[in-house]
Amino acid sequence: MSQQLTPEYSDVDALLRASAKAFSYPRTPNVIAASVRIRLDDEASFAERLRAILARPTLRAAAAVVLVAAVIVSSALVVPQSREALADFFGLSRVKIEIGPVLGPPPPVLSPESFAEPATLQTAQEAVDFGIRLPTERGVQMLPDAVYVEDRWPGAEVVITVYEEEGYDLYQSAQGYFGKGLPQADLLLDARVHGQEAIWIGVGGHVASSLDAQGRVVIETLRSVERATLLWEEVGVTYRLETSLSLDEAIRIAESLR
Amino acid sequence: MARLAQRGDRAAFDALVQSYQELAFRAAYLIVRDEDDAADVAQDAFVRAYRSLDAFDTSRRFRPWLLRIVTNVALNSARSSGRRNAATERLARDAGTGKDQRPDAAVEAAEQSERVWSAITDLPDDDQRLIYLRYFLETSEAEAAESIGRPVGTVKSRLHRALKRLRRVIEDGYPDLLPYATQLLREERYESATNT
Repeated sequence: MSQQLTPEYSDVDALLRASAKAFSYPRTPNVIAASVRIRLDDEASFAERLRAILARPTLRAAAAVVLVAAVIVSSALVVPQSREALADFFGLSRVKIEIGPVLGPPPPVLSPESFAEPATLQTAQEAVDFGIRLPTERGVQMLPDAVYVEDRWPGAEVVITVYEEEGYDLYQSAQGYFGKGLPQADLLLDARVHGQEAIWIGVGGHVASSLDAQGRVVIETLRSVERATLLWEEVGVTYRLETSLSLDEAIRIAESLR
Repeated sequence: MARLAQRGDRAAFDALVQSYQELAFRAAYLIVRDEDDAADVAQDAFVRAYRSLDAFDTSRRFRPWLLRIVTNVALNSARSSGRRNAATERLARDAGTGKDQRPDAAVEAAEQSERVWSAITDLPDDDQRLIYLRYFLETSEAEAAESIGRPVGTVKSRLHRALKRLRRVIEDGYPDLLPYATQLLREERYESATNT
């Protein structure tokens, strides 16, 4: 910057300009472009293989088995087409699940406070276009111990209400979620919330991602092996309940939302 | 080039990566403060950019759009890893090693620059991002505005607030930087006066 932006803080401004000028960056690694190319090639290659598999009628009839196997065999990242196919299998339009190893280094374990901003229910409500819902007990809404909002990705805002004593966090988003890296298929169970399809991922750890409107991953975090996850959709909102409670208790909480 | 890439031209996207990899790496390094992590963040950001190309408005500039993605990925990475402490450790480790062969003034400037970098760490993410964009990556106000998805007026007011907060951080934790800042300002003014 060649001009002083803020006369009131002109000394800090001068300090920053001098610091930027003297700042010593490491040399840019020459592998970045090549690594990006390889990753994109891998994605394209995997998408092709998956499309070929799904095009075969006999295998399509056993889509579940094929898809799970395809993900396990592949060492590539997954592209949206394959996620959609898997999502169809599990019957939720905005929730995608993969079973199989996570490629490369796993993402970090993120707690709500590490990636979202603390908020009040009111400020969180102002940040999203959908109505935030809360669990109820005997018809009375239960106020959370903490509220966080992640709104840095336009259209993919997430509101998290934390219930520490009760042992669960509730994520709400107008977009969807994507789970991958489930160590085994039997951790997944079909569940029902208000009679509608839902997904229960048992304890065992997996990677959970928040998606934007195009199904792209915007936040990715390794989830605790000690907590299970209930995923469901209602009136245009996707919910993710992370909890150490049982499936029945999780469903009771899900069905109590008002 | 971005328009070609949006139409599926991989070679065009490769060219964009080549053109902007240094910018992406540097933007990431400022935030995650580790060379290897910065390279990973830059890679991730380019992959995300590729996946998001259909959402890119080609009437706009690619650079601020990419910077928005890079800084978002980097902030997410830094928040979760706690690697920011590494900068402080590195600073302490490097101090007084006597290996720097640069002239005294350059060494002092580099050391003070590192300390200012550490002070910036104590600011909220949005302040850090704006300071890096405007000062270290030398984006214009308009580019910074595109990068943070806010109007130019908001960039100005937020930057003002960020400098205010940075001054407070310096006063509390790095008070000796203030006389240095005053000296820099005095020198600038002297140079400006002698040049006119």
